[in-house]
Amino acid sequence: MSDASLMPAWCRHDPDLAVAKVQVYDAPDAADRLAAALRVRMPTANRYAEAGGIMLAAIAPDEWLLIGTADGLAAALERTDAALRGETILTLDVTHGLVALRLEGAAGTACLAAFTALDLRPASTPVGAALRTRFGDIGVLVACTDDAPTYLLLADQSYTPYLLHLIGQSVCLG
Amino acid sequence: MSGYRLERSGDIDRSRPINFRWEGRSYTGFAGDTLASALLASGVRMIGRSFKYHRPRGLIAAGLDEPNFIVQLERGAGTTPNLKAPYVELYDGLDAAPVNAWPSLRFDLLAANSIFKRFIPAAFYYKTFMWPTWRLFEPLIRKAAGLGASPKLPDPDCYEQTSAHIDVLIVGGGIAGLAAAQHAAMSGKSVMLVTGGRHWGGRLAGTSDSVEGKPAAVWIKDMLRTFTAMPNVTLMTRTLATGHFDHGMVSLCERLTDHMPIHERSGPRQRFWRVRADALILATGAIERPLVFRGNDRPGIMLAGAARAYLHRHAVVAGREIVVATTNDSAWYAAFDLAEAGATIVAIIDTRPSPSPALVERAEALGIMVHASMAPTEAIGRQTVRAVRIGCVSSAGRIHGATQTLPCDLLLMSGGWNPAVHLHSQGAGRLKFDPGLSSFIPEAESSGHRIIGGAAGDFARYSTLAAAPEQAVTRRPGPPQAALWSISESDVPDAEAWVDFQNDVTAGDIALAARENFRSVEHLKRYTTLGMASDQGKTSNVNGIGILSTLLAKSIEAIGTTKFRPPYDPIPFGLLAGHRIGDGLRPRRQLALHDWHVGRNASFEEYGGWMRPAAYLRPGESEADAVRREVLAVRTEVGIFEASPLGKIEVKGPDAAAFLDLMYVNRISTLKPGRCRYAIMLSENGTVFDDGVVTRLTDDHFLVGTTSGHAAIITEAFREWLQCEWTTMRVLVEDVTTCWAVANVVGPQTRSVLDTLASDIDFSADAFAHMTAQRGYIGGIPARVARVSFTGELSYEIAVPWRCAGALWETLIAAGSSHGIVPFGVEALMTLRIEKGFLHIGADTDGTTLPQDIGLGAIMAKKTQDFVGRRSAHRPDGLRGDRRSFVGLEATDGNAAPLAIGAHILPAGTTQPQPGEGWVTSSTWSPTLGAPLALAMIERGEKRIGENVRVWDLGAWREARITRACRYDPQGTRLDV
Repeated sequence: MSDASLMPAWCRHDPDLAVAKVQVYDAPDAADRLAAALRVRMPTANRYAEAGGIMLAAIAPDEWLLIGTADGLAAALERTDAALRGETILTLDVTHGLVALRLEGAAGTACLAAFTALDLRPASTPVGAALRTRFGDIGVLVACTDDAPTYLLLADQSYTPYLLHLIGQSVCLG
Repeated sequence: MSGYRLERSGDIDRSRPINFRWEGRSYTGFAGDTLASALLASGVRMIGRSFKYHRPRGLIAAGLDEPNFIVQLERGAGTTPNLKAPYVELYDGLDAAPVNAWPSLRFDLLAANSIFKRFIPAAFYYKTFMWPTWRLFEPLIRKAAGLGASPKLPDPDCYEQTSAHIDVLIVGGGIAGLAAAQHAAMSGKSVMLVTGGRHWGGRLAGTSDSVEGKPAAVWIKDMLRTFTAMPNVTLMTRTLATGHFDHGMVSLCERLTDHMPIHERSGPRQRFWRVRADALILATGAIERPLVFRGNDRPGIMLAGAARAYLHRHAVVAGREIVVATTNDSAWYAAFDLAEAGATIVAIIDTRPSPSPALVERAEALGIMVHASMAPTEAIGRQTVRAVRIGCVSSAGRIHGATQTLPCDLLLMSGGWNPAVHLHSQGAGRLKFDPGLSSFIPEAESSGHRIIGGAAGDFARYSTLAAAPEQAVTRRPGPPQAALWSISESDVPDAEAWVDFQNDVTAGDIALAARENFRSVEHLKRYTTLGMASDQGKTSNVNGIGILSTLLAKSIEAIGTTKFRPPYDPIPFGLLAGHRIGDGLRPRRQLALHDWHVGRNASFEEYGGWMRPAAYLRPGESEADAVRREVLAVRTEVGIFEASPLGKIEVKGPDAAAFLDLMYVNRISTLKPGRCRYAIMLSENGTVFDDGVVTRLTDDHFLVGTTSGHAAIITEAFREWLQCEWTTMRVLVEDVTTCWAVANVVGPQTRSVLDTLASDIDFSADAFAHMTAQRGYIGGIPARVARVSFTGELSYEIAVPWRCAGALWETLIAAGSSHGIVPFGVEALMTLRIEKGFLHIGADTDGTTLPQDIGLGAIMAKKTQDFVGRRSAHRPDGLRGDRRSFVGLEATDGNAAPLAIGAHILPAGTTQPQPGEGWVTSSTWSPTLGAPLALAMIERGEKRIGENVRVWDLGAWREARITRACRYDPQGTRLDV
């Protein structure tokens, strides 16, 4: 990410994060099998669960994101494939398609408030929330990962200059 | 000179004088002043000219209800038109000017309109400028119309937007809002309390009126002190609620630096808030109604409540000899306060026969003469009021009997109060007419929000305070107010009595509209302009509706009111744009190798949302030179092109092949694994929607290629069909366009380059046939390679994980260096594909192009299965024999310039422009053929190959001949070199 140096202190690029997407076609027990394979409690809609360094986020009916380190993700995908064998599934490592940013503290929250319509009150977006929304004019996933608060923002990497432009603007605007 | 400043009191800082300029002259005010209060204190009476008749106008209000004092603030790029002076806080160096006077306020040339007033009543231009043509007059009328001037230069300021979610949002900083905030905050809820101005307390700010046993100023101060200890309360001054939208969202405009001297400003000028609250409380107060009588628009005539506000907030006494005319109690208090401040109250004129004895007694104690059952019949004066003629008035507003004249330099008026119901109404709240108030009040049960205080028609302090904590209170009706919509000496509304000051609408104009049968309130508004523009009828609507009601002998309830629309007061376009300017206007995407392209002096253009190299310019080269060089390099040696934006969609599942058969004109299910097929997708209307190469990876797994920039749309289309129509098809799709970067190596030397790579892929012609795909590794990088061509040359598209693009690219450049490999841009690619006659969706097609128009009729006929768009493509219109078809054009006039894209095609021999037979869709100079080439959609084009045509573009004629679309290597031999 060539423009990473332009980022403010409260915004960190996380280049080591790996992401995969899992889709399953009409398998009623798929969620349970997936959760068992990953040894996590299956998250409800718009939430994620975490175990063994892998976040499992439920982003749509029968659609999940797996987020973690590259090695951890590869192992998780293997377990996923094994657990859902026989089903119509599509598991894709989409790491290269995404950019991961960590927005931290009050400034990070203000930045999200500026460019999304999310209700960032802890009751609505607690630690463990994983929400798909718009940041400016592009689709992103926002996950609240701790109560500092820190938010993980995943977006299509081809929009990185646009993201940095908006983040830079929120810095200028203070 | 009339208004003056008191030595003490008021919420101003006398130790901080502020210099400013108005209409080119220097004045001085104090910190805490507004432009309006400072000029009022300086004795300035005439502050503007009316919109249409250019009559002299004075300040009448103390808030955003001010219809006359509209100013142009500052000059140059930072100028802001149409600001209301009571809301413009004074800062050092402020420079303001009137908006509707030329050359000056005192001597305004268009004041001549006033002389011809009777000839230019409401809607005169609809009637009088029809002959010979409206267009003749329109420019002049448009020039004369309007108020301020919009800036001609880009806005130098920046604006911020943000969202907030809150438990309770309270709009309005008067005692109702403050009390409601206190109650909500005590329960621990997060509370946001906003007020448009810089002070708290609304109309009671600075007064000694009693609130819960304390002087109002003390009560307000105590309340604010309480809030400072409550972290759950956010207080925001200078924050105007501008709109109330669906699902309860309220927009706020927070003015961050407007009150500061220009040289001290930094950061955003204003912030736009989108607030979604669990509970919304509107405490927006009320707006005082003017009295409608002859000459009521003279400078020196003011709303009584405004005069009281200027006195208490800014220590300004608006006049020295004051007559007060009213229909209700509130103006009496203004008279008392002004009298106690030292002004002479000549008389209080009350239209009611029996004003409250307590009020009369207090007036007498102050030596104020009281005239009951009387009203002003005419204001006398020209550029300022000098006297008022008064007479006995009936309950219908008719003056009868003898009149008398009272000298004055300030006439205060109050026709009652209208609850400020704008936000309630915008939020879908209903209104009802309250005969006691003679105004519209909110129907509380009709909305999801609460509305309290003056905004609810509740003007009693005790009930307002009681209502704040959601206690059920019954509004104690005040003394009944006789509705007095207009005052005149006959039954005909006076044509010199103003109803809408901002839009120059008189009672006579309303009578004219009624006479001409514009009886709906909405028609009345459009015909007369009553309640239009930035004012939105704040002071005028109810009076206007009342007059119409009288004229039509129809109840006000039956007439209703016009719709209130956001914004409550104008806001800058920049505020609405927020970050959507410059590079933030819309998202643009960046290629994997953007920095490499920059380093090779690429000229970038946006194609389908992607910033891509148009060409790589070498020193001394024009873009046309570069394109020519790049094309020839591809045709003769080898070129490399970053094709990462090409759409890539994974489609997987047992029914994937059947699904793609339904989505594409071409049959996909017959494709063998490892093979590719060019495919066309239609819309439901049967028109050509997208094209691309579909690759079958395995039996149940496909990689679908789309045009650049279309991947997301096609993915969504796939999902919509699967989720809504073919729910039993076991298919999953995912857009992976930006997971894979693509390098396209093209040209006769391509294989020589690829053969030098460290790869497990055999690129030879035998092992890697055209329209096939393979997976393997190149230099240790996992790669998906497809042998497909959009240029007509031998071509391999190599896709690797996005972050590996740099390594692959450098490998290819190094391998190709000995073969003269050159990078080429989109413009060269377009030239190459035009030479080959390859279709470009969106350039050569439009929303009417059917597959048979581009030569796919046979494929469509051969396919017996159904597919999206099939039925629509076979409608009678689609089967017409004279439809346009996709062909080539060659210039035959010896002119080397390419034909203009969009130029019209006409039959040979045509000498005059006429309905065309088609148009040029793509055009270029072909370096390969040394001639201009074009593609076109022409009626029956396929059957007219070889026919001469004329090409017309903006008055210039060219000669051309229809050809086959493909002009280079029609046999396709170049694919297998």
